[in-house]
Amino acid sequence: MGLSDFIEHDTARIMAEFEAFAVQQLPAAAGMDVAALRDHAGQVLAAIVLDMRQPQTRREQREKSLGHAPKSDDDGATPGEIHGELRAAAGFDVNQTAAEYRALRASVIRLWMETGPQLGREQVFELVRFNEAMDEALAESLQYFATEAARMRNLFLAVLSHELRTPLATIMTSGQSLVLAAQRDKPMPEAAERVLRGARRIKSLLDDLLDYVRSGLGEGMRVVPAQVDLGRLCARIAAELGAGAPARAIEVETVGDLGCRCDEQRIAQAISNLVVNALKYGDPGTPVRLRVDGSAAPTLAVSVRNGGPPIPKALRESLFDPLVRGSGAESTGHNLGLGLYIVREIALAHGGSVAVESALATGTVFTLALPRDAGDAAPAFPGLHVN
Amino acid sequence: MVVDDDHDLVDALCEWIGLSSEWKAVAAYGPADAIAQVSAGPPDAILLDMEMDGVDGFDTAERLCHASGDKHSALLALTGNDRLRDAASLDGRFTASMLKPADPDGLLRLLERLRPTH
Repeated sequence: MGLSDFIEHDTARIMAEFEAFAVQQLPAAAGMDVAALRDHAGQVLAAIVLDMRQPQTRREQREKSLGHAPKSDDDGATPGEIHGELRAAAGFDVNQTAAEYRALRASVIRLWMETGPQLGREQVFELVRFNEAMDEALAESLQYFATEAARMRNLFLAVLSHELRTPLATIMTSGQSLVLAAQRDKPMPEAAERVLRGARRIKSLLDDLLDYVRSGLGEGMRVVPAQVDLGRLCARIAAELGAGAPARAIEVETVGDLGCRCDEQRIAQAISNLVVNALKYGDPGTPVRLRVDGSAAPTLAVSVRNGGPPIPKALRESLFDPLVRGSGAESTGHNLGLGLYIVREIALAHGGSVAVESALATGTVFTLALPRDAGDAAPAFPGLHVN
Repeated sequence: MVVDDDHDLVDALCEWIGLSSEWKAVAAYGPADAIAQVSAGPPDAILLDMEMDGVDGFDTAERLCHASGDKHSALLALTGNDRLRDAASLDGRFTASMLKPADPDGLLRLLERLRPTH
């Protein structure tokens, strides 16, 4: 069977092999709907088959191999272009985006060779056409990826500068008031408090930013494990955050053995981020429920539940990606869209995981699953999530 | 009137204006709060954050202008977004537009210039 016929005929088998690769090798694919992954690779293959069957002059072939192929007549984006844009939005890096094409190409050629094709002039010519079409799709994808990545970077910088400017304005204004007050011998403890709160907010934004940049560089998160009682830790977090939201109830429930070897500061940061989100996005009339379940031997589960409307399914898939922010607080969230991303990085650095369930009847529950001893659990390549 | 959804910044600005000028500053902690207060009694000037609770600042400005009726409160934009600052400076409804953090003394000088209409 010719290569283009084979691709068309055996798309399902090629997809199965490709999926196995993508889910294993691509960290961002872990949070991605398998159907979405398959959809796109399928479209890329269909476009390639179509391309391979177009009659092509020798000159056109040369142009294409040099990357000068004419754009298609219709205005729509090609599957390669859509692919690049989607991968950037899904938090893929450029290597992962390119790796998907490598996997697709390898899957096609390996499976085709297994069918034992007669490699005559016609077949070799088709193989060349296939590789050219693949390269073209890859180039388009990478170009779109770069554009989308630049757009997201600009958006991120705009949000960052906006979120820093407001507390900075508070610090400058209250600082100036304090200078004036000192000249008049008039103590102004509230202004001093505002300065401190503003400074703390800027610090926490910068800490988040540092975590994000570090994890993006593949350095991962450093974990310093020590024996921690998760029940006591959760009670402390509930008390601290409850003091800042006196109108809201935070309930803590514990079950089983709550001892865990983990990085106390990091785990506290992860749980705090989840509780802060529950307070921010949950129904104010329903208490936030913080539960630690240590009844299972190998892992502990920390869950944070809030009431209110469920998170839309489409948003749920990208929730843990960087720069994603919930609706309703979109422009004034006082955050960079890094909270849940950092929770996931902390979970992965401990050899654990984080998941979300959301339904109208039960509310939204984020569950942090942690091994009892994170001492040796830190993955060799932090941030890489293998299913 | 100082309008922002960040309570600390509203309190800080009101305190500074009250401490260092003849103006009497009142606080509004969001668009709805501001519109209600302006309808009840329009102030001489409104210092307006352009990004509150996901509401468009220009919409809020329009509603504040409408609520202030014949009084024509002077509108001053104060925003953390440089593009919104530029957009507000081109919008005839705004007397001035500033980027956060605004220099506290500069803000006083601006308010001083508005005094004749006061």
